[in-house]
Amino acid sequence: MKRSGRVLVIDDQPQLAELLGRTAPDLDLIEVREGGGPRRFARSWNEAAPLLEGRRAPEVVVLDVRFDLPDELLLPDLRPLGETAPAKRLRRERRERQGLFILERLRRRRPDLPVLLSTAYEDIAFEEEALRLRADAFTYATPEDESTGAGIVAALRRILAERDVPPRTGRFFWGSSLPMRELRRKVSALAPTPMPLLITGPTGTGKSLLARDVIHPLSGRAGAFVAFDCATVPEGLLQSALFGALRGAFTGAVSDRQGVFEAAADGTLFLDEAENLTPDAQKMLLTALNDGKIRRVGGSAETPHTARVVAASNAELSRAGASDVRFRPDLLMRLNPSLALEIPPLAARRADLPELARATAAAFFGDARHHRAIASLVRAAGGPEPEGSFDLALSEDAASRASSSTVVFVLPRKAWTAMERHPWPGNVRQFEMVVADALAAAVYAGAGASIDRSGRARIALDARMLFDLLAGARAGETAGGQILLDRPRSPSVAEFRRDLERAAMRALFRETGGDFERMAERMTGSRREARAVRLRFNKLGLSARGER
Amino acid sequence: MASGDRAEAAGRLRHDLGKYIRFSAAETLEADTTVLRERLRADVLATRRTASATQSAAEVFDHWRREAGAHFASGPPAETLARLCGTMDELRRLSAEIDALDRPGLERLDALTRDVARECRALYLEAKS
Repeated sequence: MKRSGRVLVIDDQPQLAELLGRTAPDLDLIEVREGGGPRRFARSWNEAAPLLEGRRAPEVVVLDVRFDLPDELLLPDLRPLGETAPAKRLRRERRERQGLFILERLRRRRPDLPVLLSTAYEDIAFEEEALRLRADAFTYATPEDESTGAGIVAALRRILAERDVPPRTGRFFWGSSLPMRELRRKVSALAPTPMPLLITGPTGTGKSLLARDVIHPLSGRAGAFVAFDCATVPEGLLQSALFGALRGAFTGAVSDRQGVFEAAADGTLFLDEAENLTPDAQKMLLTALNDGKIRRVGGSAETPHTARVVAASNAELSRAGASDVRFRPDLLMRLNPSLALEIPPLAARRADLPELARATAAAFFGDARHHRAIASLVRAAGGPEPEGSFDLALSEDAASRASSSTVVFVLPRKAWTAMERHPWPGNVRQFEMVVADALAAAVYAGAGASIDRSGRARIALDARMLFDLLAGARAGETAGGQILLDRPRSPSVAEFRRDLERAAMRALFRETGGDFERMAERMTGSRREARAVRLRFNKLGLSARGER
Repeated sequence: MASGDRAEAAGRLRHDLGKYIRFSAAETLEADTTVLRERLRADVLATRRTASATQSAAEVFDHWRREAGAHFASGPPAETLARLCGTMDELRRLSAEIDALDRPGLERLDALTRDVARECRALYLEAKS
């Protein structure tokens, strides 16, 4: 059975709470006991504030915009205003914007709490301010809208349903923080359309996973998902790789060849690191998007294409005057920058860290090889054959409260606190690598398991190792520094040199969380060499996917 | 009277009466006459509720008119207010006998609540402009 939600109604009148009580009796409306209660709605910020935290804290707030209350209950400063003309103006403004004043205070206390704003005043311009304060939804209860109650209940149910969605779609991690909830809604609205899309966000946030595991399946397109990394193809071959080439178009073009646009017919063409497209390739891409036609290199005929383009970039494509980003403004406009799907850095969504840690651990435990190794640790400690799912507890306290899992990995509280504060420049990818490394160290090189009084196996993660991993990740942020490498044993000097370079590249890749721009900066002092670094990385037989 | 005061008064009427007189209305008119009657009883006879008192739509309007009606004696808001007074008179008459109303009577009362909501909104927008 689906669980219902705890809802706090903040309104100056009882009708909304009554309506919810009548039409959605499964919802748990939080009671207010002060000010002549009990009532199933809070009339003011003063009544709502004490209810926002604790065991019975709301999972969603329904908030009115206009409140007709005495001065001493109206934010911002809760004092009588008098009857002068300016005081009357101020009173009107406070009444008309009371919901926003409350939302502002609420955000300081509970930045991620879902909020539904409801108003009957379509002429009070509150939307811009409400968006800034990250309201999750608006409903308008106007005379023209005959579905006032039904609309509020539907919006409320939609918000509550978001609690129950899985934290991952494929390999893309959503989490439940406010910016990711907003992103999820935007993706749900845009993915099924044929519009070209732009995904932005720093490296390691999961742009390609979002395109492959979320947008392409939601698009309902029958064709293939084709990923094309604009940074790994040498400039001279970029156009033919994108649009195809006719035999004889250039040296080495021994036969007609289709490009990725054709390979993605009726599907999705994902252009990763789009900022690396050459000016000529950008021009041809613009034509392809505007006219729906492409022309193979060496050919004169244009043919229609049916690929839906999703571009991604970790650069600010619109940054005026940026010397390292040369992106055509008209192409940028065609990619709908105002609708860009912006994946926030991990540091801006720390509320997601516990869920991400558990999801990463679940993926680790799901690997059959690791599962076998864990079972053998438990057996060696005298425990029973482990069954069911394993768990990661983020502190000793949490371990003792943990679920019914037969095996619990325990992270020391202090290490977790350090992880919560870490800047995570390599974002989700770097976080996942650190958690997976710490788990692997505990499984393959740790002190083994212990069996507690309830017969459950506990495996402690090494705090020192975790702090080492964090320090490594932090050191990656500072310029220069040393790279510690295992000395390779190779059959020839040439091989030795190559193995050494490979090891250095891998170390830098891990330090920077797989960010080629930062690798370039570390190696040459400039981010402009990112393409050359990436080409060299691949030439050494390394693959970003394999290393992640 | 300052236009700010008039807007303030019209805003109060819209909030207390216009917003709540159809607050429980469903998207489509209730097919069940008993349900329709109950909804109208709640919206029209208990339109505004505070900790100490419950006021019907007619009482909310009358109270507001005593306090602020004189400020709407001229201009476009006066015409709208006159229309609203007429609507409220009929609503007052029908709501007094709500338990005895047949289906057509209840549907008429429902239509009047819609008119009241619209006229309150119109009055507010005119007073603000």
